[in-house]
Amino acid sequence: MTLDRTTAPPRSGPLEARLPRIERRTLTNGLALATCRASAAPETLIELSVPGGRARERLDELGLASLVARALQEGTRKHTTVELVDALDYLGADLRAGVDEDSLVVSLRVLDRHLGPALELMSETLLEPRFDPLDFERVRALRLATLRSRGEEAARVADTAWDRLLEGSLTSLGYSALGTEATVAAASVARARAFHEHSLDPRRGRVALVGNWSADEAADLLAPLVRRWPGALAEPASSEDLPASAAAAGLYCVDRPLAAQTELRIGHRAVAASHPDWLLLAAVNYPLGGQFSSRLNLNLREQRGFTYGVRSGFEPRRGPGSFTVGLAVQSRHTAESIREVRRELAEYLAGPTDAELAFTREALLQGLARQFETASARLAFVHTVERFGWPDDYPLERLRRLAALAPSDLAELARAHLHPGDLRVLAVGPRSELERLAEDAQELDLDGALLADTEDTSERSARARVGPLA
Amino acid sequence: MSRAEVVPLAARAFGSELHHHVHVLPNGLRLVVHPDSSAPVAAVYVGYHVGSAREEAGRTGFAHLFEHLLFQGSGHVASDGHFRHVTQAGGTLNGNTSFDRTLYFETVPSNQLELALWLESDRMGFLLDAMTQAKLDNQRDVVRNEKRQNYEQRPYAKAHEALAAALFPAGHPYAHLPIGSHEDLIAATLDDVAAFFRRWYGPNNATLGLGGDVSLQRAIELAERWFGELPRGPEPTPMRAGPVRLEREVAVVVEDKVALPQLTLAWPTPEAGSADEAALEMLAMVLSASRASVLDRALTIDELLAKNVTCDSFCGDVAGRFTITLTAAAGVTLERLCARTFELLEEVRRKGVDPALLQRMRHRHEADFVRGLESISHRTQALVLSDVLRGDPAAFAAHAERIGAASAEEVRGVLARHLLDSPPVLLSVVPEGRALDAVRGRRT
Repeated sequence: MTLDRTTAPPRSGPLEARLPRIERRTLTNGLALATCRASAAPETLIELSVPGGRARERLDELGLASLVARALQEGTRKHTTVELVDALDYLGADLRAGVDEDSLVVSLRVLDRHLGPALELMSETLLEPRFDPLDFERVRALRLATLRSRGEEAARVADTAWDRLLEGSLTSLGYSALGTEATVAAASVARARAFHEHSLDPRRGRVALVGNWSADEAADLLAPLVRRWPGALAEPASSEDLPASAAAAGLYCVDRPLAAQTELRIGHRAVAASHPDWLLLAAVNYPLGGQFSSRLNLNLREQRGFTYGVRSGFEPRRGPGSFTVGLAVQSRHTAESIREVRRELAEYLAGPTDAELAFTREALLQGLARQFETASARLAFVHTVERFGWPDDYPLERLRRLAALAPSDLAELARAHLHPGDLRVLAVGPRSELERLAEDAQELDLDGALLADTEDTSERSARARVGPLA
Repeated sequence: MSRAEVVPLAARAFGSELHHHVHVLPNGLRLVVHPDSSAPVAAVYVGYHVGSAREEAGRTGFAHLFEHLLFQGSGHVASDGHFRHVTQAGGTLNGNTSFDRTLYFETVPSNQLELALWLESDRMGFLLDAMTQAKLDNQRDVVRNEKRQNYEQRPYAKAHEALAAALFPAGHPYAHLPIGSHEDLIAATLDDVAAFFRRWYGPNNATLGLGGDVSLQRAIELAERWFGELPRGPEPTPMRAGPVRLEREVAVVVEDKVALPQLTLAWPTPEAGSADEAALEMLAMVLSASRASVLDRALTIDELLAKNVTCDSFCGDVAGRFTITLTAAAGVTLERLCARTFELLEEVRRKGVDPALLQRMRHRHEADFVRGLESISHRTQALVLSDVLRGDPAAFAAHAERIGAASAEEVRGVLARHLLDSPPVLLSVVPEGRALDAVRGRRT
């Protein structure tokens, strides 16, 4: 039999992908449990979220949420830092705390045979943190050192400045999660303790658990934690709508005169994850910049060799999200790269081609096969569903809706959610490279705040005043 | 030709057997099959036993540049075909290059297994039919941007090249990094591409791993269908270099755009498979795998001399290296950090390794091992790398068992022999213009 190598071999049969089934319970203290089975390895993964995220920080206490998360890992009432770490090492357990916009998240990953004692340490960490002043000073010193070196990595500078351009200066989300040198220096143990206590409301908390357990078994495993966590002390904080203060469209720059590369972020604000179109936005973005064979990557990497890689994407948030194209380009190609990204975005408003739409449908459908293989993938799935309130079968729902769309429908979606006429363009690299563009760049400091420019033309000052960044 | 093996530590950890089978094709291609029907996926890993260590003088960075070119199409696959076909099939793919081996991989829905085999066999057999100067020029630019992004734009990363050059003599296979130099990348020619391909990319210098929802019988049948007709290449010859020992301490200074200075202590160590390899890995854990390991605890919690500490033991085909990297806390000099670190190491030599700490690190090692085999792709990769580098797909698990079994006395022994009684490289990364802050030598 001669082998035909000239065409790709066909599939061997239909795909049998199944979504994991999420089961839910409400525990006696009000905590919402969502579980899903994973039986490949003798491990359990738990992620517990309470409402102590960055959005709750006041502007004079930026960085507090992540300092609290860090401090939680420095010991409990019963255990000093070293005793806690030793106990976790003995169990081979990973216990971490972190923050996102909405939540303080404590997570545990441990082999099943050590689950009981590891859960006990997780409970202590969440409910009875030590907040020893000496430990807090160590955490603060480390954080200040990190902040003082924040200018060293262009990608980090770009990410921070980008948040400021999109979110503005009136919300904590417009600043680095690490805070600023001034706010971190001013943070106190008392405030950290209060912030933490305020977060401990089980009625607004969620726990996701993935492992070799049924939902009832999972509830039993969590019973000791629930017993020592009776309920809310604090009134739920009211979530107030902050005034929109994002930067105006235009070109912005953090000058790094001799940098070999320029970090670019190009995009705008976008709809919240609760928007009816949200599930389709991944499909809208897919041919544009959602994977290696996208228009942007084929152009800027595979055709021009300007970059090691470029991606675009819509970032889901409970509040307004964002659309961002991100890449690092050789500095001398900065201006041309910006022009190319703008051109690609503008052209994409005509929508994907028939072939691109077919490619997207097939890739997203077939991709389901490997999306839920591991326990950590399943945990991420549960977390996403719970965080954004999407349906349990949202990956299938997306495919059902996508199947009903024509390229012209995707073009309409692209025009509704992509705004090439309203782009913020951020360049972290040599400012001189931007002179090739027929527009002025407004210069930002390391944190994304607009620099006062003494040589400003009146026109530029006027434009700067429109922006909220000063 | 085929045999089944069971990996003991993994078997214990998974509560089931981590099966694999080895089958050698007549052209020398080694096939490792890991059947696992727990998810509808198939992982295809092709490991070639060639990396930057095989590069010749003036051609550094070539093995990695070459890896990029293997994604640019081949005799029957269009230039953008690899990424397009695998992505459309719902799969993922990538490749990577290190000192001793280059790895290419796809994870696809199991109904598309044959697609991945078509792509991998085509580039193994027919790469040069489709190679052009334009592809070489384009990927050279991409790789040079990769170097800028990951080495030149990243704080402290410039020092990696200086460290390799200080630890190993010029011309040693590990004296330069896989990313290579800009000059050599510019100098690479199409003739180099063809020669490198013919020398190292034959089936007899490769291992094909098939994992996931595929039976042993079908795996063998498919491997023979797609790879069986490819001709054997020249026989690989062993590298002539070996482990090295520094005659005397070497101090190196690199200036970088950083606020806090950083010190790396590094020693040459033996090659993979040597008697001390496992104990050296456990030593790295005892010193720095946890915040309560010896160096982390003393320097970052109790005494606040360092912002962060990492240790690493690498043992390659012909030699190894052990590194301790210390970023100073604000206001702490590298001299002081260096002196205190050696005191702590001497204390471990004097008192021995704390048995309770050793036990904790064994538990952490076991948990890390299980985590590292979480997916079918991870498991297939581990089996293939082990086959390429250790000549046996099961060897990685036996090696992991040995790390967990290293005794306190063995760990102390390698600390004494390979670190404390051997001259180190003292590499200082200091803020620009602050060369005087570097460690010039060790006061003993």
